[in-house]
Amino acid sequence: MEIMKILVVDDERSINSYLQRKLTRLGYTVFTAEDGVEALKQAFTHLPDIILLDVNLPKLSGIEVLKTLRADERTKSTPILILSARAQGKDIKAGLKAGANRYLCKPVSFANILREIRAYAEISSDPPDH
Amino acid sequence: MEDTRISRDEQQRHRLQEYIFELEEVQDQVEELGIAHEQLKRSQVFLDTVLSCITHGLCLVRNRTFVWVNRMFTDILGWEPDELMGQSTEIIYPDIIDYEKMGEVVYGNLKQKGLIIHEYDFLHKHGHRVPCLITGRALDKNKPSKGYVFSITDFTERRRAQEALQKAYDKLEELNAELLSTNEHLHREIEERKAVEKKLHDYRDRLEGLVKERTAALMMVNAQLRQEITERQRGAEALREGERFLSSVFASIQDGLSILDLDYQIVQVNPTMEKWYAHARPLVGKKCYQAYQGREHPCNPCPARHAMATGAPHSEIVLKRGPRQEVVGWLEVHAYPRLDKATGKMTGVIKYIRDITQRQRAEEALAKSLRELRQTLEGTVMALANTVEMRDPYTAGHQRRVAQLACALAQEMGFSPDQLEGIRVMGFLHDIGKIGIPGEILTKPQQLTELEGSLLKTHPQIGYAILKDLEFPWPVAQAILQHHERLDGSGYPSGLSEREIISEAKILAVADVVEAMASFRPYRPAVGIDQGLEEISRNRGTLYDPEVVDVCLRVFTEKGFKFD
Repeated sequence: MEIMKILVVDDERSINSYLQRKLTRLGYTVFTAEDGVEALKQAFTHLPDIILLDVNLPKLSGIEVLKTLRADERTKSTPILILSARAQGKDIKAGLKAGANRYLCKPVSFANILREIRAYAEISSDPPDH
Repeated sequence: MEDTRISRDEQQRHRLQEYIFELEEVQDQVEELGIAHEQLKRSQVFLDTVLSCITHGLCLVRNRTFVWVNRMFTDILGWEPDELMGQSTEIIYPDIIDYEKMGEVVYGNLKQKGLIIHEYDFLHKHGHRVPCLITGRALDKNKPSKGYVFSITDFTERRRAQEALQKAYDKLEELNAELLSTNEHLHREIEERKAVEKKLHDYRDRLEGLVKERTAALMMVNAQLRQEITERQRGAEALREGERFLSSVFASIQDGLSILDLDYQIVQVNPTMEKWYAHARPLVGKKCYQAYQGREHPCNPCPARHAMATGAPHSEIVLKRGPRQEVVGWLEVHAYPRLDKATGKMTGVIKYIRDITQRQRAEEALAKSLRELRQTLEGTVMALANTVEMRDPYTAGHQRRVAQLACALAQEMGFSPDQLEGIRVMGFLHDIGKIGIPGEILTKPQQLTELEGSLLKTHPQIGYAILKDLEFPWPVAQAILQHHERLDGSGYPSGLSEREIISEAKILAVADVVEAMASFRPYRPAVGIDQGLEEISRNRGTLYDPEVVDVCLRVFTEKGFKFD
């Protein structure tokens, strides 16, 4: 089986590097981005299997990034997990409406993030249906 | 208002997220440390086990000083671990020159190649040399200051057991193989000759004209055959040469040599063995226990059996027996396993037997002449003792009784038999100095005047002067000089104090006083033993040694001592 590629997007560098370190050690290939524009660039370059996405991002918000990715043929069905400090009901609704597969409210433990990644990894490793 | 609250909530969630991740990171590190610690502990236990089982001597040396040694290392060289750790390695070399020379070899090689393998005879604690194989390398190649690890293996047994005899056997086996191959060669040639002859036979019947050819061919084969025969003779000669070599080795050894197979059957013996066991000849073909010990079953213990069981050389002292199985002496038997050169398997045992009967006899003779010397000494002592008693009939028997009591005291105090002998001689001679005192003083029935008394008191010095040049194995003259000294310094002639008086003199002093009071004196009747014992008890620790006094009381009251 091919190595899973994961894109981690968060404007907080310490969070990015922590997740990158932990996931790399578990055998995933990890790319990171600290703003919305960089996130799109990384997503289209590497076509990751899963994306962890923050909402509060400089240059382009997470919701905008999400919409752009869903509009593109290559990334329209990529599992995208939002990881945000915005925990209001309307924020969650907006995220899911824009096409996120899951909406995780900070703070969240690494174990929980890993459980979500594994759940979607199983789905995306199924044969593609298009 | 609501926006502010939301943003504060967001900020808190952000910060919390960072805390959580930091915390998780710390947790990971703690976990990894735990695993690393566990591994370290495991490898330490493993290392300890390995180091205690290992049969090589190991040491860690820093600046040519022992930092650590294992049990085997100290066993090989005879030291205790405590004695070596912290010591300079010079201690295992015979002298400073060897120490420095080995230092150059070892550390020069270590610097160049990072590893040394070297043979060297190290110095054992007891002074002999132990042939060793030493290997070593730096603990950390990049930091020589961390020290070097050396491993030593004891080569003594290996060297001694194999060298001489193995060499002789190798030679014989080589020649054997040579002859065998020559024989095979010859055999082949005979077959070939037969084939050629058959061919010639056919030719003769059918082709008369080929007679000449046949003759030529036959001659050629015959020539080859002759050549092969010559070669075979040469091979046989070489074998005989080998056997002569071996038998001359055998014959030249004055100790017995006996080679056994794994069934204890004697395969070969040397002339020395034939001579020792002439009654059991022929030895070859018999079992060793039958030929040498006249037994039906293998002996126990048996060095050959031990060597076969362990594969290692083994030595023992056994009885040498004559024709009627009577004991005629003692033998030192060394058994070495004999190994097949090619397979390394044991094929039997080489017994190397040394007759130590002469040595044992010599030791006995020595002991006998020592006994005789002692008797002569005894006679001399008695003669001396009698001389003084001839002049002083009143104290006749005094010296003998003092000797008897002093011996009893010394024995009770745990003196060795040899020391007891010394005490006896001292008792017998303690008043020898009275030879130099005028007879009138010795036999005067009244109390002595001051002048007479001081004259009498010179007898220890006179005794000392008489005896000081005689070479007794005990301090006889000194004990006699001191037998009137007292612990508190009130004695004579030198007024010595407790620590200056030898213990033999302390015993003599007590025995002398007790005996004197028990006996009649020209100037007074016998006082009695009880008064004698009271005298020493009263002055216990001031005049007389307290231990001797205690022993004396015990000897009289508990052991029932009586003067003869």
